[in-house]
Amino acid sequence: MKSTAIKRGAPIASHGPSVGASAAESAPISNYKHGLPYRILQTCASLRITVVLFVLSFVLVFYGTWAQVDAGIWTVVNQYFRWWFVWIPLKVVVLRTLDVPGAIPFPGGWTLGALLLTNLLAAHAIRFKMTWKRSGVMVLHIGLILMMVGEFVTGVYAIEGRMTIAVGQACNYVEHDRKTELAIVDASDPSVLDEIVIPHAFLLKGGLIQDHRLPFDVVVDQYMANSAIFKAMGPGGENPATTGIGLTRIAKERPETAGAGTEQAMEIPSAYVTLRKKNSDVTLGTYLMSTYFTFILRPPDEVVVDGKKYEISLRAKRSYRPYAIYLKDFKHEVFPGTKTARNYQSDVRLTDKERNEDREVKIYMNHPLRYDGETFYQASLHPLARGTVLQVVRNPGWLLPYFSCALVTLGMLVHFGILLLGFIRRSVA
Amino acid sequence: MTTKEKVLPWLVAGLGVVYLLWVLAPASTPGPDEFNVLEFAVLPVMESGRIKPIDTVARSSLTVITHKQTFRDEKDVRQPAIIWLLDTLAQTGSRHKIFRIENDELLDFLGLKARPSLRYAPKEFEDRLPSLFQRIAKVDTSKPSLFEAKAMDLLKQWEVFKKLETEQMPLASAPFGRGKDDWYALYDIRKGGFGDRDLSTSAFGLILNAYEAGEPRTFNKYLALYFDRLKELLPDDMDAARFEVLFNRFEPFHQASVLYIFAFLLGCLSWLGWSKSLNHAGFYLCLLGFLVHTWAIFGRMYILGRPPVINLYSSAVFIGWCCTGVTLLVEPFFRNSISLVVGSALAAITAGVIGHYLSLDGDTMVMMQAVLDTNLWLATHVTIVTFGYAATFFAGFIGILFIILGLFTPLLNKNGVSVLGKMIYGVICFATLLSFTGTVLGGIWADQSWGRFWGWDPKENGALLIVIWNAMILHARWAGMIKQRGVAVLAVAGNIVTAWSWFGTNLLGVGLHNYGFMSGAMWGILGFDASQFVIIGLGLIPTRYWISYRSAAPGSGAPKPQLDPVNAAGIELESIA
Repeated sequence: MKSTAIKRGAPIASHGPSVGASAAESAPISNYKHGLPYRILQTCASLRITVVLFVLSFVLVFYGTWAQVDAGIWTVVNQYFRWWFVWIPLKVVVLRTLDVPGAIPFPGGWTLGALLLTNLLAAHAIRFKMTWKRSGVMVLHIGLILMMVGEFVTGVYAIEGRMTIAVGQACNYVEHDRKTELAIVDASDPSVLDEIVIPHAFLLKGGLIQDHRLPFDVVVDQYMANSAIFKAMGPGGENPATTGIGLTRIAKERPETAGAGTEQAMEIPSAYVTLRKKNSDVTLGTYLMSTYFTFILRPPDEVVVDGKKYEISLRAKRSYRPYAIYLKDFKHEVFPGTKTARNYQSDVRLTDKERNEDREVKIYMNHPLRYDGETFYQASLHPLARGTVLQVVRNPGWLLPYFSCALVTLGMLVHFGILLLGFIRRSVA
Repeated sequence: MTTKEKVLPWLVAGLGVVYLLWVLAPASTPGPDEFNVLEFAVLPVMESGRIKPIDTVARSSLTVITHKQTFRDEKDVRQPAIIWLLDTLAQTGSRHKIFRIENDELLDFLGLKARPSLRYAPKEFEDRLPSLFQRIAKVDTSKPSLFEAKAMDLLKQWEVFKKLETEQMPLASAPFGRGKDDWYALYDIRKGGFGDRDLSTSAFGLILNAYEAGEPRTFNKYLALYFDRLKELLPDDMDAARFEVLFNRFEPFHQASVLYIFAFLLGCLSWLGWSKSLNHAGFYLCLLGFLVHTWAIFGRMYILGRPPVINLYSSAVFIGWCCTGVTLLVEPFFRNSISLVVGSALAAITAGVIGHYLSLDGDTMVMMQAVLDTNLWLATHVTIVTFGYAATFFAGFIGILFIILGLFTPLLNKNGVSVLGKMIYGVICFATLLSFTGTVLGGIWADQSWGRFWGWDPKENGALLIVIWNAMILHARWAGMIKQRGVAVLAVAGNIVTAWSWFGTNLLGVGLHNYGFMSGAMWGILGFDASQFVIIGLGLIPTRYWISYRSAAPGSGAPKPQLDPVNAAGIELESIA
């Protein structure tokens, strides 16, 4: 019996026996096909729904592109594609021709992906027969399933970061630009790394932060996700800082950088924090902290509490590694007479005491270092210090797109090949 | 077929070959008392990171300034760019009317009167330039007025001219006795006082002096001597440079487009009569054009040492090549001139028109920045994705033909509907395969290069949109939701999607794929989109108003003709009652 999708108006005979049990023993006409579960499955498998979902996906991707003109790419990715639903601003809906307020709700990437997956699996459960003719489509669809799973895994588990190393120095941590942290470093013993770090979420929340591990209390007066730094005319007036770098520099809030705009501008988070002696009202000072200062390698401000000196700074979130990478040399070639980069190459030495690794590696374009589940790509050069910037990625799902590509391409070749052969045969006949 | 009809295709092909030979024919070898300018043109120099013949520098610089590769001298005779460059290097270039100024306000500011040729010589306005510089220095470059934008363009073009005149550009001093990459500008060497001792500078100097003094024999003598030394230093680059000069002179993409246009016309005419003959004639011209086009693409690959698609210009000429390729594969099957007409029109538009506009920026053979270094994944990705664009356009243009023929002519009979329907369907299948594989290969390259397979970047999204659109058409057809007319209309919409992916995403100014800024292109795209929407609107007119459908059953009182369901293609219809 040829399988079909929903027959409209088909009479429903008796509500036969429930799915499974006696289906095999009963008469050739399977009664379970009239049961509610099966009918729901049939609806889920509908090709029309596939088309509708494609159209919705199209709209989501289209608007998810336009949204990147005003909003940062990561914001858009997290709002539109890696979540269940999104509020699309009306301004984006009309392609920024009018500046209208308001937004419309729309299913997000995960919702559409889940629905497509359900639709696909249901279709295969019900409609698809395992014939050679259908083999191409089945392989193709399996590949697509892998791809969607891969994107989901990447969205949830992938971690990207950056490692900046100056020539002649070593680095054992990875920085994650999209989050910041307030670092309080006890620099009394230079051979020991002794720091306490207040994570991003606390800074965003603002207000008073107290913890027994902190040497003082911290009050986040103002946290700016993006800012610009200007010269200041001393304390007072507009300037909330009372000491340190903040006396000569002032930070003004700026909107988030759009997409990865033409200037590829970096975001510069800054914060004004007031430090107080623990459990008292005695202020140690109001400081201006900014990733900008960390970036230009300016010495951090110092705070003295109970005779101990601490360095405080705002920096990109760090994750430390049990190994270090030492930059022996960095080569930056440009095409003669131009500023266009021809090649970047980092000659590094990887030292891991735990695993007895000590080897030299060359990292350059399209030739990354893979170590301990992470991959280090040559990204660019540090514009200030003579050094390298490596892109560091951990993604457990990284192989999935490779399998997916192979399967879908193979499936398409088989399926369209079958169609083409049939067409040619008929043309010749 | 009559004898005339049998002969016509060969006659046409012969004419095509004659035309090409005529273009290719070398200019007469200059006599001993004439400047051997064509040889001078071969001199290799370094510019924008690439060793190229000075002819290319002349042509691309002149194109940036005057939008043409030739200019009219004081006697109103057309001269090649290399003459202009020689004059400029010899410090007599400011008399040539090459700067194109249209804007009234700008003409006014520079003290110039409007003239039909729109072209002005540097000496006519250079004294007004310092005040123009001052005026523009304070402009907000993100929102200039028309006058300011045109002035900024003029100043950029002026910079090109000045850099050439002062010998800062190109780097013409070949690395004799230096590292292979150490090309220097003549200006820098003369400044350093080494001019006499550096062979390149002295040779150039002698050649230019001879040119200024009007002594062709001396010019040719020093040129020949210098060539001998260069052949020892850079034998391969000399060969490539000579080839490139030939390439420049031939203008192969332009010639191919000319042939395509005639192929297009012959294809259209074949619908009116002498069908087989004209179809063959058009096909032969298309084939001839394809051969030239192929030579040109491989020529570029030889010169650059890179895969065929490296920038927007090369993508345009590659799309044209793919369209012709598809035509040559498909036309022999159907023999109805449909793919001939569609393919040659598309090829002429992309390689000819769009390519021309994209070449106005300067040298189209550019060096790629480090991350775009040749790499198997990148090369296959770009090539296949571009092919996918071509295929989607091809389907879309057959769709346009379907609608125009069906609505406005009686030519689209029942068989026509079925055949065109199959053609569009087949090409969309092909396009889906190409665009999907191409897009995913791009992802794999990205993963290999910076560890992120998919970043939802505008260019990536654009490619994904094409895949989704094509897949949607196929699934809607399989679901029985649309038949031939519906597929045609959606295929035309696919043109809009592809134009968005190809150009539109670059103009958003965001994402890692932003290659350049073209404001004129924006209007071009909007115009194209508008035209496609109009055709979609026409396509949605109920078929009972279509001339073809009405005349299908004259006088019989029968309603619109029965459109074949698509079972003819052997698809098991997932029928939904």
